[in-house]
Amino acid sequence: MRKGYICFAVIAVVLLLFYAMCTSVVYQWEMAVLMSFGKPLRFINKPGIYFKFPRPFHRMAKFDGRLIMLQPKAAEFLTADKKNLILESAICYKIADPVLFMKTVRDKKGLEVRITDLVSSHTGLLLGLRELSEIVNVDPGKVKLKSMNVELTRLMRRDVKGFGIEIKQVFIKRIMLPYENRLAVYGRMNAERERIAKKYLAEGEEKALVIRAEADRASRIIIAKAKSRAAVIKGQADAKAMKIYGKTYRKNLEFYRYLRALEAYENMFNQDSVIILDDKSPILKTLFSGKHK
Amino acid sequence: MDKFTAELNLTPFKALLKASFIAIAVDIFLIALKYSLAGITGSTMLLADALHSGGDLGISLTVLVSILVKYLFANNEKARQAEGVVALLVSFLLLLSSFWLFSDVLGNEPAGFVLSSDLSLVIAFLGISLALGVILVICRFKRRVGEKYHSIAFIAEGMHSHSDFFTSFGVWCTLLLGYFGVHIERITTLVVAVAVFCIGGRLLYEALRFFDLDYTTIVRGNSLIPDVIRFFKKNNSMMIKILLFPEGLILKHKGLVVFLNICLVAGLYVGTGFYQVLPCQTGVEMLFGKVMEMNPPGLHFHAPKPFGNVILVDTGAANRVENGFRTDWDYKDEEPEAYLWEFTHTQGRYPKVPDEAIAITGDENLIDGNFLCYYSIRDPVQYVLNTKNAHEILRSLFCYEVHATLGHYELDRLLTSDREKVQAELCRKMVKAVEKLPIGVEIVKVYMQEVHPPIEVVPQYRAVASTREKKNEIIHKASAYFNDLLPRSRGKAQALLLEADIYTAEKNHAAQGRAKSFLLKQRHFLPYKAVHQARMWWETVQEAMENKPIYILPGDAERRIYLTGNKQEEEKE
Repeated sequence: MRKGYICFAVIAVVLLLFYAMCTSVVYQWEMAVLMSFGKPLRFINKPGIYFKFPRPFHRMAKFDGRLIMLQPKAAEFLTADKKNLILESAICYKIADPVLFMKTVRDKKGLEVRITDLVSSHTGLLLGLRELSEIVNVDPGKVKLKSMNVELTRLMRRDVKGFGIEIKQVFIKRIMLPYENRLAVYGRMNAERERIAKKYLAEGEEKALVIRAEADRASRIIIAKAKSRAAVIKGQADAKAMKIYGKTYRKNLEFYRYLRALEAYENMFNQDSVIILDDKSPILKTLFSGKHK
Repeated sequence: MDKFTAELNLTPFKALLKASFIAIAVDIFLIALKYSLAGITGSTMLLADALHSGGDLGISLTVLVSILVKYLFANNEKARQAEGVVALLVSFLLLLSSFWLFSDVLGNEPAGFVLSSDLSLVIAFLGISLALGVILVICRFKRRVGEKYHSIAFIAEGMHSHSDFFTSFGVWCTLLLGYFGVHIERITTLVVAVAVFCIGGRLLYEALRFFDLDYTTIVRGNSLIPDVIRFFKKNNSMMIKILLFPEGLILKHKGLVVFLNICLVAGLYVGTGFYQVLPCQTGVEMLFGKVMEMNPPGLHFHAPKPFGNVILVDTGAANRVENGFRTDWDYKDEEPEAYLWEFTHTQGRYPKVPDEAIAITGDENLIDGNFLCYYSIRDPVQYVLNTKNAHEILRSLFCYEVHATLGHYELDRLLTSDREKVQAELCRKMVKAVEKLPIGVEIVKVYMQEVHPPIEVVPQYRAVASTREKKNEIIHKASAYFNDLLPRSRGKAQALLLEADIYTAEKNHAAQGRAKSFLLKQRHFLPYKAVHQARMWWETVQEAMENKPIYILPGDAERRIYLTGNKQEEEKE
């Protein structure tokens, strides 16, 4: 019984060790290359469990065959019209041929450095042929960003042919202005806002002036009209009075003249008047002589 | 081994004492080894194993004390009790540590159980292998010494050391399984904790019994096992049965216990194949790296690791990709009262990512925007097989589409009227872009969360809004002037007309009055013309000259008189 257990334990351990050292599971998203001291023996692109000799003799190099998004750091470029732009690109790729991949770029890090170099050079080249207005424009028909991405993808595909990878897509992920230019744009935007603000104020003033003038006009016209009517009314009144006077005074013109003269005397002197008389004045003569005339 | 026993062939007491010290030294070594392994790897399981060895040390100490008491102070009543006190203390320590282990195992934090790196796994594996060897040797040594000097205490201790061997072996197996990605550390730790609890309970029980019966089974020269069995028969207490269950039974049915242990380990291993799929998930099951089936929510079984594995994909939940900001789901601080444009950059649970947020518009202005794209996983298999990080791919794509789309709109229209249009266009573009990539996701909806001018120009934008108000203010003031002036003018006009009316009336009445008076006067004037002429003339002259200063000057006087107001100044030439 005891021996049975020992046998069982030994077999279990041996099996476990065998499984750990002599098999390798390749997942469905992986590709593997069975290598013997650095020499590729077999390329595996189907999932399953594979047998191999233990570590120093055989090695199973596995490669992830899933899509990878590589995002190199942004870089500054010049457009055809000498404007600086910061572009950040993204490359969507996957490993297609592990053997070739190992031969040319060795590993993922080596690949990334090369892709970064290539994409930077191509981006600069393509942007140098285009003006800023072809990158951003209010008219969608003039924007050539998409064709630039297509061109970039084509160039990249051409250049990575020997790397054993498949490029799905390359695109300019992000477009930005350098810091100094950004500040300048902010300045312009501020000035534009100021222009609009000034315009608003001036428009307000314009309307206000018109309204005030209209008020003045309306007011003065009303008063002028009233004055003219008042003048007419007063004139009519005067005319009527004249008519009455005329009719009346015509009856005894001499008496009217006399009365009017007396009235004028009465009104000519007031409280402050000083009367200076010649000693030969008829008034004095009459007064002193007692004779009238 | 024979070398040891040959040296101990002096007196039984000296030999037993020496053996006891050796046992204690080995126990201390084991504790130190396991404890340092636990420290290096940070594994709670190894710490539990170290505590188990601590229990062994406690028992060894009790045995040492019992030997001392038996041979040196056989007649001293008080000295005998020292044995019980030591056992009691050690038992308390063990029980406490076992409770601590239970709470750790049953707690929610699994970090202490799964070893983080391969290196620590290897170190732990080697360390435990060494410990296993040492335990085996010391086990045999104890039993041999016990048999040689007929010390049942030593035989019992040797047997007990077997349990230490089993726990360490369990830990060893767990580490081995861990290498293959099967993690039963938590269960092993629980088992070890139960073992520590049992030793503690056992010691406590023995100590209590010692004080009651004044003698312990450990020290008594009789056989331990019959004593235990006798005790079972005597006491039917359930607690005691549980405490003493393992040892008696293990010794009785050794083969069965080993078989059951193997079954238990195998059962636990197979049990790791069960997994749960939540309502929002789909389980993609794989065997030897190949996708076998997709499982809906519920309990399922897959071939345990390392043969099979399962990937749980969140298919039900709408995932989101953010552009220009990130959401801090665990944000705990106080949120601002309202997310003003400034605050979206500095405070709250939505930190900005300025590189993504700021874009160039079609009219070469800059805009700051937060965008959101919801997607769901349409095909879990494609999703698993074709992307490592679909989220990152979508984020880059979304960033591209946002910047490209904003690049042909005017800033002012983006801020106001074209938002809906941009949203729809972005959604269309994203759907199209994602269709081209075989990543098994579909775009649900794209939202333009918020757009505003860059924070540097926000004050000016607000100033424009204020100016618009100012404009209205000016216009309203002018209208107020208008409304004030016109009624006044109308009143004034009315007043002028009324005045004219008054004038008419006055003139009319005056004329009529004067005419009437003239007519009346002239009727009486004519008959007495001379009288009235003289009278009226004088009356008038008198009236006119009354109360006025009168200067009378000679007719030939060559003088000029200057009159200036009241003051008179005469000047002679």
